Amino acid sequence: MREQRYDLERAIGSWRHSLELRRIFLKDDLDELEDHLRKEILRLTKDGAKPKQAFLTASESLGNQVELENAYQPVRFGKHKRSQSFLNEMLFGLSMLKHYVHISLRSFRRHAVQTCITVSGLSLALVASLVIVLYVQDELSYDRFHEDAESVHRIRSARDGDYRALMPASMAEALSTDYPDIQSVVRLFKHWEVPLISNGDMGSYEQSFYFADSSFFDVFTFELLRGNSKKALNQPNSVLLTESSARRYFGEEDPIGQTIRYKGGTDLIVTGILADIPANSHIHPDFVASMSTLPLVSYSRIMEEWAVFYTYVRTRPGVSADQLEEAIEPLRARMAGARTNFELDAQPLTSIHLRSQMSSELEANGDIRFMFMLISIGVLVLLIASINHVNIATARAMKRAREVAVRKVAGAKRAEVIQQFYVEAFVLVFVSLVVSVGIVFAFSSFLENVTGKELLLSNVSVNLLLAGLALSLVMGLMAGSYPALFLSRFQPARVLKGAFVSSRSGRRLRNLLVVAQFSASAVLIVVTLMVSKQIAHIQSVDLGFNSDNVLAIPVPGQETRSQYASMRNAWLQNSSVVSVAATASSYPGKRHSDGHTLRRLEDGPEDIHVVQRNWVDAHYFETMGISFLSGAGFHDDPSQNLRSIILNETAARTLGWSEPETATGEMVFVNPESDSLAFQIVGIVRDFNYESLHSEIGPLFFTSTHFPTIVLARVAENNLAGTVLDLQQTWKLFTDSPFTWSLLDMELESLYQADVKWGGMLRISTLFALFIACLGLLGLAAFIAETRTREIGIRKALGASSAGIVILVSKEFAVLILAAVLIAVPLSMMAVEEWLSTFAYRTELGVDVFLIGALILMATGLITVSYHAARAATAQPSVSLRSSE
Amino acid sequence: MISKELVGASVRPILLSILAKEDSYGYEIIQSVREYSFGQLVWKDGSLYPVLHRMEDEGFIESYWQKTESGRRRKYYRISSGGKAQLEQERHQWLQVDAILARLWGLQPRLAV
Repeated sequence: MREQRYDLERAIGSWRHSLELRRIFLKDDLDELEDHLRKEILRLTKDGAKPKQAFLTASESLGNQVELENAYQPVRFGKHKRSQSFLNEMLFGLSMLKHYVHISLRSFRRHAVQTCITVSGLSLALVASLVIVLYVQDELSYDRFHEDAESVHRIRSARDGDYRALMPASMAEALSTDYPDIQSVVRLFKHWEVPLISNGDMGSYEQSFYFADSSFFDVFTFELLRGNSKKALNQPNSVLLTESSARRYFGEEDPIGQTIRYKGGTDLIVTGILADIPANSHIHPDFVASMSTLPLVSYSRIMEEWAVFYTYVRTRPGVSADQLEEAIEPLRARMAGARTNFELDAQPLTSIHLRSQMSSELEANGDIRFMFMLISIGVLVLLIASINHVNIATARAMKRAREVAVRKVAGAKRAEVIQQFYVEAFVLVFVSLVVSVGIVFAFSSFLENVTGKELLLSNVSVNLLLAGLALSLVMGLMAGSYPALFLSRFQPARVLKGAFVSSRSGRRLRNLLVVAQFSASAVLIVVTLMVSKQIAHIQSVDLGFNSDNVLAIPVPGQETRSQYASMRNAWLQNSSVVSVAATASSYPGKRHSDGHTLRRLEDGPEDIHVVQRNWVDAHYFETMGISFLSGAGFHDDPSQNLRSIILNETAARTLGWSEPETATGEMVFVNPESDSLAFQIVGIVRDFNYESLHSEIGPLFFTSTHFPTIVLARVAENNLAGTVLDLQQTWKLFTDSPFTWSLLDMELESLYQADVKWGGMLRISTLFALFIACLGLLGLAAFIAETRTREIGIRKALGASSAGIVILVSKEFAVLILAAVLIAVPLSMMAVEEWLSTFAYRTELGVDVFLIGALILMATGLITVSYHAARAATAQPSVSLRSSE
Repeated sequence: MISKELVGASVRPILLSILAKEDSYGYEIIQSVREYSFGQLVWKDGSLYPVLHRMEDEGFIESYWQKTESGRRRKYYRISSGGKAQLEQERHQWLQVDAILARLWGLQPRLAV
């Protein structure tokens, strides 16, 4: 009776289903095997076997699941993935994934504290690296918005490796006519003095006023919202405004066809409106006037005589910088003349922002080395956080070993256990990613302050998502790999028999990783301290002049300038005004006029030297606290100074006087190409740092001016605001022009803003790194204190003091941290050396920095550890000895 | 009983030879092997299929599906031209081995007959 009720179809069905679960078989395989099974059963039943017996015999002779799988494995490996059962595969994978996620969450709940530690570490690291990725991405995107940006180059000249981008105007003409590889050429000019732009009674000094050829739009792809890009810059006295500057000057009125006044003298007609320049451009003109305007508003022979133009070319597509340099070789030869060390260089537009650090850049550029440093910091921070997970996961291995053993006994293969631990790591990382994206958004304004970029406004969602996913992937692999491989290796039989003891190699690895973490933190701490030290050094270095309480007051317009002498006298009546001077061009901390040449009277025509220049009055040196090495300086009466010149020490040396002070009284030619009368040297001034501490002091000379564009006034320290008000009152007596002023001290500080910002970013990432490393240490210390509860209990029962126990537990970590410091010293020295080399004036690498760094690290590390050590040490032995684990 | 190694070595020429006679399917192939070897050559039925799949991957045999009388699908195998060439080669090698052993043992080589 029983046999008759045996359901053969059901038996075959469940046999087939159990094979289905072994994912190696395709549907075709199952059909084929089932066909075989049925044939055999049929044969056996015909021979008189009962259905159940026949089924058992047939399936036995076909082979059990494991045998079948082993037989198929070598043939099938990798093949079933491609099969049409892909969907099944996915479904199966999903259900396993769900299971793994479920197990992971359960394990997280059980170890909530350690999970929190790992997640906060991972999130902070992701925040830091997300910001870094966005920042670096933004820096790398500079000037790539131009159409076929690879075909645009800036032409520079180089003499003995000293690059300058300021070219004579004639170069562009030669380039655009003689060279077929070059499609179009544009010259840019930006005045070193800041012009006053006005519309009626509204005016302000515009930092970003450019002059450009009409080919501006052939070379650059700046969007022109209104006007005709072919014609807008054709006529003299035409100007383009960006949308924002147009709004500033004209409000809601239509600006096209209206005029703005340049330096209180010339009216320029607005012929077009530019879209605001993208932030990731190496130039940000607010105004672009036609190049033909320049001789009308500036020195009339500027186009013929001065080398002050930035020259950009657009080549035919596909012409490389090298090919371009080769093509313009005839031009180089012509310009070089007798000089052998003169080169022309084509600088790709897209590399200007990160790879160009000349003294005469149009705007402050970024630095590719900072990018590398930032990326290294990002990787370090990610690594530190990943190590936390590795350490905590392997420390818990003993407890997980049983779980792994049971899984394996139940049929899990090693690959599946590995998958499980990877899933666990990725779930952690994913949770952290969500947290970190939340943090980035919540603190976006703070982050933008620190980085100085609007990181989250532009195409944020895609970039942030991609960056986040990529980083999580890297992090999941970094954090998940070791635990997965390590934990999946356990032999179930040995673990379940109790043979598994905390492995020594695991502990050694953890110690190693802790050392790595703290070395990384130590490097960052030392680098941060060094950067702070360098920034402090810059602020304290003797610049060679005195910038305290000096006001810089621009003098707009010819009419105001003509009043200068009497206004100066009126100001000097004020007892708070110490001294007043004038310059026609620049003052310390600002760009100085570039590309002038000097030659000694007795030297041949090839011995000319490129130098910088300033035009000042007789009071400039006294007001700025610049001292004379020899000579008396300019005469009070400007008419006596027409052929007088003052050099700085470096200029005198460059010209060939090995003892600069002896040069006074000698004669030199200034720009001998255009001026054949010699000047007499009436003084040599001590070198002072006239541009920035990033660059060495170059050769500089002064000629006299009676054309003040900026007045420098040194005033008494007390009641600065009152004095400024007094000065303004006096000013109003002489002119209607706006009175504006700035403090030289503050302007000088702004020169180092990039370094200060950089220092700030470093400090924050260091804090991040140290904090994350300490989080990991906290987790590890908690774990170790826990596993040593009994040992500590016994020690206490035998009479050890609480203090002794704290030292016992802390000692282990102290050794690790010390090792970390030792490793970090040479690494951080290398890193700092690199950065310091960008300064001409650098602080010394001192022992103090390393000592302070070590102390900070020791202190934070030990405070972290001792919390748990103290908790373990103060526990009652009677309680801790009763604990079961 | 023939050893596992020898079974492993001979399975391909045997399968190719059977399929050279006519197209066949797994169960039937096993039955033929059993008949021809008088039960001397025994393998786990299930281990035949992976071998067939591999030979199919290698291009020696081809497979196609046919409906059986009961309406189920059945997978048939047939020898390809590559398989025929392979069989010829295997045959040649087996005859050589047989000849060597025969000479060593002072017997008439029989495979060659």
